[in-house]
Amino acid sequence: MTLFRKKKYVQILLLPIVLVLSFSCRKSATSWHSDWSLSLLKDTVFVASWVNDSTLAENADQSIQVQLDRTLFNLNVFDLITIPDTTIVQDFSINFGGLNIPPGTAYVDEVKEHFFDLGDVVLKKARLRSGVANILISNPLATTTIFEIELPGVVKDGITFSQTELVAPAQNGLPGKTMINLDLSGFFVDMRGESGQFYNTLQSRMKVSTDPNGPNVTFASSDIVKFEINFGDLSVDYALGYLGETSISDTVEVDIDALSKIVQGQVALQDMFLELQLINGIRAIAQGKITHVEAVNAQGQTINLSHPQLNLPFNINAAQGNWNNLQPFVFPFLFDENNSNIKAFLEHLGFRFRIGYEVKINPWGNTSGGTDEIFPNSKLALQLKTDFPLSIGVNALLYRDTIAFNFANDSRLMRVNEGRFVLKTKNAFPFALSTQMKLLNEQNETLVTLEHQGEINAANPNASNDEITFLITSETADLLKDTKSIQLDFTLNSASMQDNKVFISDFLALDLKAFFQLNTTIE
Amino acid sequence: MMKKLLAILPLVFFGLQSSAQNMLPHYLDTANNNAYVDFSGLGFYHSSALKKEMVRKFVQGGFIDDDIKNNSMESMDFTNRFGADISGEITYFSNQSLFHNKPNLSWLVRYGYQFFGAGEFTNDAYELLFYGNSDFKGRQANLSNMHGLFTAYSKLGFGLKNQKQNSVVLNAILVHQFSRFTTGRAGISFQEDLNFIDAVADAAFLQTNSHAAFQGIGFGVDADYHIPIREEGLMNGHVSIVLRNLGMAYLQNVEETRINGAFLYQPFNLDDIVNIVNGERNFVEELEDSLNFSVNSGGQWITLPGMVQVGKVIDANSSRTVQSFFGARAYASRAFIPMVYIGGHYQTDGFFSFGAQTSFGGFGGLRGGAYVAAKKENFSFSLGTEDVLGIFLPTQYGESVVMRCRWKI
Repeated sequence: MTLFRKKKYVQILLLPIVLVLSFSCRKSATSWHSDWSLSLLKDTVFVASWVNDSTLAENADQSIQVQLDRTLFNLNVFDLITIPDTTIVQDFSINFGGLNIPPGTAYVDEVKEHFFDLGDVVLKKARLRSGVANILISNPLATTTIFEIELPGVVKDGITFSQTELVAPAQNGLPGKTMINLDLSGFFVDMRGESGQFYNTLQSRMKVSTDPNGPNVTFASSDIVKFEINFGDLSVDYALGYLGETSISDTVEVDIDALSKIVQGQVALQDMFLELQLINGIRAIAQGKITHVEAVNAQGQTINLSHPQLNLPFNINAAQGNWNNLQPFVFPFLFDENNSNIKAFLEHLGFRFRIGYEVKINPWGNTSGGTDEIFPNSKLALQLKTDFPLSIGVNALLYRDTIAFNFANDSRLMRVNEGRFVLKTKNAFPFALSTQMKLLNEQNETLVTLEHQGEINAANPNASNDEITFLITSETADLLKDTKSIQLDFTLNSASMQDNKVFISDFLALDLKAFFQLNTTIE
Repeated sequence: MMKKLLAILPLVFFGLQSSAQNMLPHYLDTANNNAYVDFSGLGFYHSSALKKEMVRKFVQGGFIDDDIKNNSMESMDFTNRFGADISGEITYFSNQSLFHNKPNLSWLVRYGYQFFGAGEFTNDAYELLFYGNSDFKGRQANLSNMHGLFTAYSKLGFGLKNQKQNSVVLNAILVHQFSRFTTGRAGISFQEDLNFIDAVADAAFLQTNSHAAFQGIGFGVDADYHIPIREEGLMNGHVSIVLRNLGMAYLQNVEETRINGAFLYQPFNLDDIVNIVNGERNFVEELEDSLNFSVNSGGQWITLPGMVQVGKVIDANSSRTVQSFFGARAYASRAFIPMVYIGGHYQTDGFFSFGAQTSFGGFGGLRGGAYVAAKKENFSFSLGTEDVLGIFLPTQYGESVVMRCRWKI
């Protein structure tokens, strides 16, 4: 092959190489744009749906009244009575040996009383809300023995508690044993003992006889008939007696999280009325004191509620009536604009409320002669009630919330190039709303404030149709990967500062859509 | 090391770019008694709707602008096809007989490599992918009965051939990559105001899931069989039956993702958003549950995208200056409709010969092809295309390069 020919062949071979390389070599990524839209939120907030839920009520003129009724604390009054777990042993033996017992002989019938240590609480009667009795019976005789256990004064539906058990005979010198587990919940217990003069006392009666169909057996002096009861988990839901002298003091803290987001602005309330009620549902006298009421706003500023009766002791009468007609005693604290700084207190826009209180039950000892009484529906509670029109003037009230955000937007396949969020609203509330959205980095520093157009106008008087648009520019989209949270600012202004009433027909319709351009890239 | 070597080998072949003899007019040289080496290779893509200018963006990179998207969109039917094949083979044909009693029977060895991808897609799928959903308000995107397949594999074979150039080769198939997706009944409906998006999906995606160099192993058969025809005029010659890569492979570890269900998306209400922010609702889990999302792994048999071609071929030793060739070709792919072709071959007095052909079918429609061949002593070389316009015009539906090189030893 000549050199010339070789060159020619090489040229021929090189040609397809060039062709293929030009055909197959990728020089850069492939990309294109596509336009997407999605409806994200569609909802309508109606005032009417909140009425009659113990917060809002409708006035005759269809305006809204704030009738809040909330329990700030509710003491479990049955915690006043604590019955410790108690084990009782009752046994029987004879001092002489060799007593021959024919079949069917009853040879034990004994009542015993058991005292419960309840401190200074004196119980005459009680109903057990819960409780178990675990009974271990031991039979030393060589015949089946019939044990009849009765708890005199322990009654349910008019029937005294009793249980009969057959216990196997002793074998090889070991007594026959049986364990019984009894549920005592719902039983009334007379704790005055067999004579009716005692207290905190429970009776038990043990009757023992041999099997009528068994053999004659011998009762030796060493034989012991044993009956062991363990009372556990005893609690009551009714008690009669003396509840002891008990003091309770605490500070209740109530947080309203939504108000913690209000960072600035003023509100104007009118015709404020607020009531704190201390409710005594037990038939025992008590003494109480509301030591302080304070509110802390989002800026950490504290305001104290003033009232002539605050931090002064007051007497709390016993409840009246009994099981079906219990009438709790209610001690009211009324706060209005004449006797307190309630208006300033609420316009302070506190989100954390602290209420200190003290309650002493039977502060002067057993003055009732042991007739204190707790019923299942008894309570000792602090209740908050409000009654004022939802007529709020608002001036540049700034509500700020920050939500976590994790949208890397650095996918090599798809990323948002640009877009916009469009919120269409129909607002029948007498409030205007403007918004601002900021993207924050990991250090909570502002990366960018989103450009936006429009705001929600207050109804005046007809509902206002508005549109807010947030723009995601390509520069903003680039920042999404560094965004760790979004700060949302809502600035609220009322149509007027006075008589700015909310009516039952008010609503806010929201329709949020996203329009965005995706950049798809294939490497 | 082995993996690198396997990756480099096919590139070497593509660099040499031998080419698929099946795509060029087939020269039948029954007078050849020499041992020889064949390099053959091809590279083509073809579509019933995707224009070259768009596919080029995927090949060479770049931004697909609206004009490019629109040009292909205008060519779309309800369903559209696309296919691509880049493959190369090197074959050594011995002239040594294997058996004393059969002196005409000699042997051959072959190594080859193939990338093959093909699929069918709806115009709605194209529109959704490249334009987004903004123009789908008030209508449904039909995504039913789509499928796609991509595979890459090597083959190493040994075969027998006789004096008439009939041959059969049994290849060991080593699969490097395989992926496939199919949809049954599938679609997404968008309400006019986008307040409801209703999706129905019965779809599966399967792909090899191993870091090994070979994802599976199998077998494939290549065969060439020539039937002489004796007609007057241009019809005098041979009909060739060519089989390539007909076989199966077992993939050792594939991961199949399936969805089969329906999902109704509605915009959230305020309670939903509170629940999502609080973590009480997980939208992604709800979506997966509604669509019965599942992922399964295991072994699986697959069929290779083999090819069958039957047609009259050119006689390399013919004294005629003009010969005809024609035939039909089919791939084992749902996206490929049987392709028919017809062409003419002109032999000059010198080293060179030329030819032209037209074909219809395959992954697209009508195409025109041309080639040039040179033959000198022990060396012959052919280079051509089955899509002449595709080389020059960006608005065509594909490109094609085919070549063959034979060296008689």
